[in-house]
Parts: sequence; structure tokens; C-alpha cells
Amino acid sequence: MHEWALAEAIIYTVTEIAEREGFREILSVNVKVGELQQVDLETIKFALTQLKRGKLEKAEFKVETVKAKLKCRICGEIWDFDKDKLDEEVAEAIHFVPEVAHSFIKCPKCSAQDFEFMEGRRMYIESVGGIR
Amino acid sequence: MTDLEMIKRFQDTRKRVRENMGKVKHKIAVISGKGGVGKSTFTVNLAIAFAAKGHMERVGILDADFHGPSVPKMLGAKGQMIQSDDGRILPVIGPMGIRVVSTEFILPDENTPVIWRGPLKMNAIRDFLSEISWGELDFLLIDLPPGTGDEPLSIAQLLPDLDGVIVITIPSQVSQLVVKKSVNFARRLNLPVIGIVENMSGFICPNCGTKVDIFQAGGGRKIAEELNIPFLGSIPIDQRICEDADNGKPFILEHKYSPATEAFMEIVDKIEKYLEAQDMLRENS
Amino acid sequence: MFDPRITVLEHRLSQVNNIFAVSSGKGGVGKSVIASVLALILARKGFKVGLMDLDFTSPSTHLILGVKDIFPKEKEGIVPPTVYGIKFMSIVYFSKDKALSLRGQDFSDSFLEILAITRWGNLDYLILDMPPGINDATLDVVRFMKRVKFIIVTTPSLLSFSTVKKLLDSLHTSKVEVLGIIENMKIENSSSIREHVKGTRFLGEIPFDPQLEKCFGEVRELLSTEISRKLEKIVDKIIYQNV
Repeated sequence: MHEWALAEAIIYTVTEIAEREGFREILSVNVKVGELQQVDLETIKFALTQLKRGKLEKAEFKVETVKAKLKCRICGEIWDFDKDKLDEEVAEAIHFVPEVAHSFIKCPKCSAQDFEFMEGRRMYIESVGGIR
Repeated sequence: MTDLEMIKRFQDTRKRVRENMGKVKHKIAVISGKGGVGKSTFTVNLAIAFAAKGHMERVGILDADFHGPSVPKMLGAKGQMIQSDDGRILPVIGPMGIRVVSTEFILPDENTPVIWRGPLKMNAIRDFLSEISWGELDFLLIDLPPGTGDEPLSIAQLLPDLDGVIVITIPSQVSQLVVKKSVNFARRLNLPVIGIVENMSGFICPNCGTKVDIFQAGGGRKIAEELNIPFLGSIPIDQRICEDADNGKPFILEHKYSPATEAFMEIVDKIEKYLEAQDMLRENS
Repeated sequence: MFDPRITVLEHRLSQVNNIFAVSSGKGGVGKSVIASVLALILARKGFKVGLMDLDFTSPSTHLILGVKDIFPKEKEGIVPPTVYGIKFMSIVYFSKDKALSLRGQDFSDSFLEILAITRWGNLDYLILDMPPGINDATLDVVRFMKRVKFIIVTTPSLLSFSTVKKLLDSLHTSKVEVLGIIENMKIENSSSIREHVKGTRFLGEIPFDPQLEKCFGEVRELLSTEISRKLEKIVDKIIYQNV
């Protein structure tokens, strides 16, 4: 599962932040994942609890999905990402590399493929809390 | 399988081998009456010598000695063969661009001996050998299994248009009988004997220190004369040859100015002259 | 807001000993063929090799190698499939045969995404087939893969070489090591860029082969071309200086 790879990335990054910011212990981590990535929240949470070590031992992970919004660069139309409209193989490809959405999704109004992800594209760590 | 099917299969395999060796100019088999006489060491160094003499990337070695494939180790070639979509196998690239195929590469790992039995084993090896795509080469050297029995014979039979065989022997084994067997081997294949090499490399055992009686040397030349086959030369004892082989460093590169290398290079010259003469004969006919 | 992909990228490449980017000043100089054959030769020499096509908008290495109907295995990330002894990674696994046009940030995002989830494992060499010129890929490779070394491909045309000079300047400014320049598609009597190359190693010439097209998708044919033989010598020049 590629959720494990993402979980691992979160752990590496938080560990680095803890070192850099001089945290003794990390207590909370807020992670946002883009809807486009179609991450399975249960799996990623489980992976995080399995992978946390050292300063992250006691950390609580909050992982939330952010709705994906797309905006057409040609006509300005804004629309929501709807996984159910895609066939399974395409959804899976977008799950791995969201940018390939450009190959499969079109603006519902003008059919252009030149659109941007306003939000809900990728995963990021919103905040990290702990004891210094 | 009926006899007819067997023959058909053999012919198919041979056809495939012929296609795959179509662009190889010279093919030489290296044989010996017995194992442990330095046949593989000789083959590896001969390949290096050819490569060094202006045939970089145009020399191949087929290590068909499936009892103890040792060419990759001696040469320091650890690469992987590539199989193309049509099933053909591309050799590993060793030092100086030498193309290497060894039965070792089809073994699961270094420590697993080949214990396939009888016909099954032979068929598997034949199939494997028939799939190797050699590309354009000036020389292909074939390290056959030791002895002059059915095993080396049935592999050599598979290979089309060999230029001839080189017989490697050591002084203690040089007897008319052993050499005669090798000559018969070549005769059964309808091939010329390019010559005999008297090798003494295997003679000083680094462990037990058994020494060779130098005065035994020279027997090879006498017997070659008696049997009317060319004598290519003797390679004097040098314990470093063994050490180099163990370390994957070909002797003639490691010890360029040793008596053994000198003797070896003289032998290479003779082999080259033989092949040139053959080329001229071929052109004239 | 922290992007975890950037941190994990280093870890994903921690067992990769060398990263070589094959690049050119302009397109159509045979860069992808050279990158593919380079990877094949290294594999045949016994090295563990990875090949990644970074030309996301017009990937072609999969066509040169004849790769089809495969998909990476999912195992705590994705494991690139092995083709002809090479661990092979391309965006075509995901974009299929559809066109993919990416603007700046979108390129960087897909670049980071793929590298963040790809498990190369232990590699002696990772070869990157770059899109031509100086672009997002060049900038991202330089930014995120500090150890990268460039191999530059040009044709004998001075026009091609003039674009190479700009690329070299840009790499030089970013303090990126350049392993050398390969002159591809050489034909008899064509002008030579050898004497124009200054301050960078000239790795060798590769002849123009009008039959090359026929070898695409046929690895065995491809490896028996004169191009491959010449590249074999160039590979030796490169790796025995970088062991």
C-alpha cells in the first residue's frame, strides 16, 4: 500500500522538525491529505502508529481529508473532484500521482485540460505540537 | 519422445545456435583429458589476450563446463544476462568488453552445484546454449566440460563451424594415451586440433606443497611430434596464476612481464597465425 | 505547512550510489536512446541499475525498451518493475497513453510524488532521462538531488551545441558536476563539436544510424547496433572515473 510510504514520509519529516525546533517530545501532529490522493485514512493512521518511535512515541496523529477543488484556467469554472465519475484504473492512477488527472479530467464547462488544483491536491503537515 | 522427434529437436536446436552464432568469425573449443589442468585459466587469459590485441568488445567466452563453471569468477564478471522478448539471451559484459555466458549464471546461487541428471541436464543446457545471442564477434572461446567423453562431445556437436580445438594438458598427464583421446575427440567432430598446450599451473599445490619434477616437462612436444599435431608451447609454473584466478584478475594483465605471460603470448601468436592461415585457405577455395 | 515528500526523498535515494541525468540543450538529439542504452549496458556489466523517465509530457524510454503491460508492485510504496535487468520507472504507468500537459508547479508535484513513493532499494546507478533544455525538471533535479551528475548529449550541429553551452552555464552556476558531452548522430563530413568543447570532458562520438528506428522495442537489436558499441566505451570512461 502506498499509504505506508506516505506515513513514512510524515514520520521522517516530523522527526526532522522535532530535531530542528528542539522538541523533547512530540504530542500532536495534524496532517491534511488532499482528496485527490484518495488516501485511506484508517490505513495511514494505523501505519503512523506502527512507525512512530523515539520522540514521536506519544504523538497523537490527526489526519483529515481536504475536499478537492479544481479551477479551469481557460473559462474560470470551479468544480469538485468526483471520484465516482472515474473508472477504477484512472482513479488508481490519480491516487498515485494526482497530476495525471490532467490526462483524464476535463473542465465540465469548456472541456479544457488546463486546470489547477485550488485545494485538496496533496498531503501536508499543518501543525506539530510538543514539549521543548 | 520418439527417436524421430529427438532428432528433430536436436536439429532445431542446432539451427537456433547457428543463427545466434552467425556473426562470430572464429570459434575455438578448449578441451582437456582431465579436470584441474588449468583449462579455464587458459581460456580466460586467451580471451584477454585477443581483446588486448585490438579486439575489444569482440571476444566472447562460453563457459560450458557445467560441473565447475569458473570463468565468471576468474574474469571478475558478475553481471546479469538480459533476456529479450523473443527468448534470446544477451551475454554479460566482462572486463575489456568480453562477452561472457556461463552455466553458472543459470544456477540459483554460487553455492548450488548442478546435479541435474542425464538427458534432462543435457537438454536444459542445450536449450540454454541455443538461446544465446552473441552478436558480432571476432573470437568465441568455448570452455568445454573436462574429459573427452559424451558430455563435452554432445555440447561441441551443437556448435556449428568450429575452427578447431586446443588441447590443454599438464606434464604428469602427458602420455600418448591421453593426447590420443583428445585427437580422437576432434576427429569424431571432424575438427582439426589447433595444437597442444603444456600447462603446469595446477602443479604446485599451495596447500600441500607438492612439487613438480621439472624434467618431466617437454614430453608434450615429443608426443605432439609423434602424433603429427602442432605443439603450441609450455607455460611454466607460476603460483601467482592460481592466486590471480581466485581473485578474478587475469594473469596476463596482472603479471605482464613474467616468463609465464611471455610463453603464453607466444602461444597466442601461434593460434592467431593458424586462424589467419585458415582464413586464407577459405578465401582461396 | 511542511511537505513531507521533500524529507522522504532523501531517504528513498539513500541506497542509490550514483545519480546520472542524461540531458540536452534541445530536443531530438537522441537523448532518450542514449539514456536507455546506457542503463542496459550498465546492467549487462553487472551493476544494479534504475532508469527513470523524467520527460513527463513526452516520455519515450518505454517505447525504446519495448515496455508494455506492466505496473509497479505496491509494497509500502511502489516498487519499480524490472525490465531487462533495469528497475524502470515512468509516468506512463499512471498517465497510460493519454497526453499529459503539466505547468510548473504541477511538474514539481508529480516529480516529488513519484520520488516520495518509489522504493528503488539498492542501486549502483540511477539514470534519469531528462526533458530537453533547462526547465522544471532540470531545476527540480538540481534542487532535490544534490548528488546528481549530468551527461550532456548534443548533435554535431553548432545550433544544438549553442543550446548546450547555456545548459552548461546554468549547471555550472548551480555547482552541478557535469561528467561530459556525447556527440550523437555523427555522420561523415559533419562538423565536429569536439574542438568547441572547452572546460568539459568530451566523452565520444556516436554515429548516426538511419536503421535505428527499427530497433525500438527490440532490446537485442538495439544492443547490437554500432551506437551501443560506441556507448559501451563511453560507459567505461564514465564509470571508471567515478567509482
